[in-house]
Amino acid sequence: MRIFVNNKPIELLPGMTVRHALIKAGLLEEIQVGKKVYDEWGNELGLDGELKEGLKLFVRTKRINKFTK
Amino acid sequence: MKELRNKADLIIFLSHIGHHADRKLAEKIKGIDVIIGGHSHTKIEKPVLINETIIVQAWEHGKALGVLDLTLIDGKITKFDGYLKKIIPEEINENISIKAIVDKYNEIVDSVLNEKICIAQTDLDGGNVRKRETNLGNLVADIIRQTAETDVAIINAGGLRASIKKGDVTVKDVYSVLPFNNYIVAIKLTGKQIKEALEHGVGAVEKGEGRFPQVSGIRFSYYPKNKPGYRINEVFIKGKPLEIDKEYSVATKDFIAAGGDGYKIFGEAIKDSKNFIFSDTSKYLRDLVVEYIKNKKIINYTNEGRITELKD
Repeated sequence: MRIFVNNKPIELLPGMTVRHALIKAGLLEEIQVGKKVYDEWGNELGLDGELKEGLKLFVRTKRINKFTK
Repeated sequence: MKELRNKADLIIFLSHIGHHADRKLAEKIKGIDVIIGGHSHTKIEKPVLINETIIVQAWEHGKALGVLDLTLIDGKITKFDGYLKKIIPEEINENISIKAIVDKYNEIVDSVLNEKICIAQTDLDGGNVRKRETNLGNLVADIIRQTAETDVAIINAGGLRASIKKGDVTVKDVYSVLPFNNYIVAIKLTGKQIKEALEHGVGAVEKGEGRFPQVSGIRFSYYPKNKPGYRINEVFIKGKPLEIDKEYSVATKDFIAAGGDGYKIFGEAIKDSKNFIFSDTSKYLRDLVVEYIKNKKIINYTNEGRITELKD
């Protein structure tokens, strides 16, 4: 399964979660110091959230509010 | 949808397919009023509207209560609003009726955790797992290898967080050793990759880092004083010298398979789906260990010379 973290492709096994994606991307420590993970629509994600092929994740400090309607 | 619409005032879809798929569903299927989602653990602070479908999801692990207010006129939603209310424990006076509920569930949890599941005839050493082979490391690595039916198992010592005293072993003891929600993953690695993984594992033994390997199906020796990357001496798989070009099946934990504790070699290997053998996200490693030792009834594990530290 290929997803993207901060626009970089990451290969993971089926069933893996946001946490695994961050481990693979070397960004889990960023979460421990206060950064958050967001999806492509600007929603925060929990670390145990399941992933899907092609999903785009972004790790950053502040949420960029997006118009979601 | 037409059939449902004739029978119902509102069509509310309880999904567990992730927010990404909820959006696609709303795009493709007309007539769903609300999708209450899950699976992706998405914190949707304001309801999303796709076509005429409202999509909500309330994050994860009971951290928030999702609230959705709908105004209906003549059976049609004319207005909606929603929010997530964070669930934060408050300092309040004890409520007797709530305490009774909590006590009841505590009792159930305690009875599960305090169940005596086997007798350990020796102390199971979790204190030295980051420095050398230990009987506890051997036990857990063996259970992983046997469950995945692989040639070998390699795990990081950092995942073993406590020792178990000789005598009665409880579920709680096993949970203290393995507190993380890890599951087993098996992939194919070449002999070269296994050697590289072991090199990485012993690369900071002097610092007591969690990457130190505990193994099953493998016997190896290493020079701890050599420069990292040049420490591994001999490696044997099931008693035979490691063949650099041969492919072996290797079991580990999901954390390592994702490249955790710096085990990039595993992370690289899973890039190719042909290397994937097995994973079972439904069973945590700690529960497999509980099951295994419960069946054994008596555990007598020793060090077997799987990992030998060479002096010169």
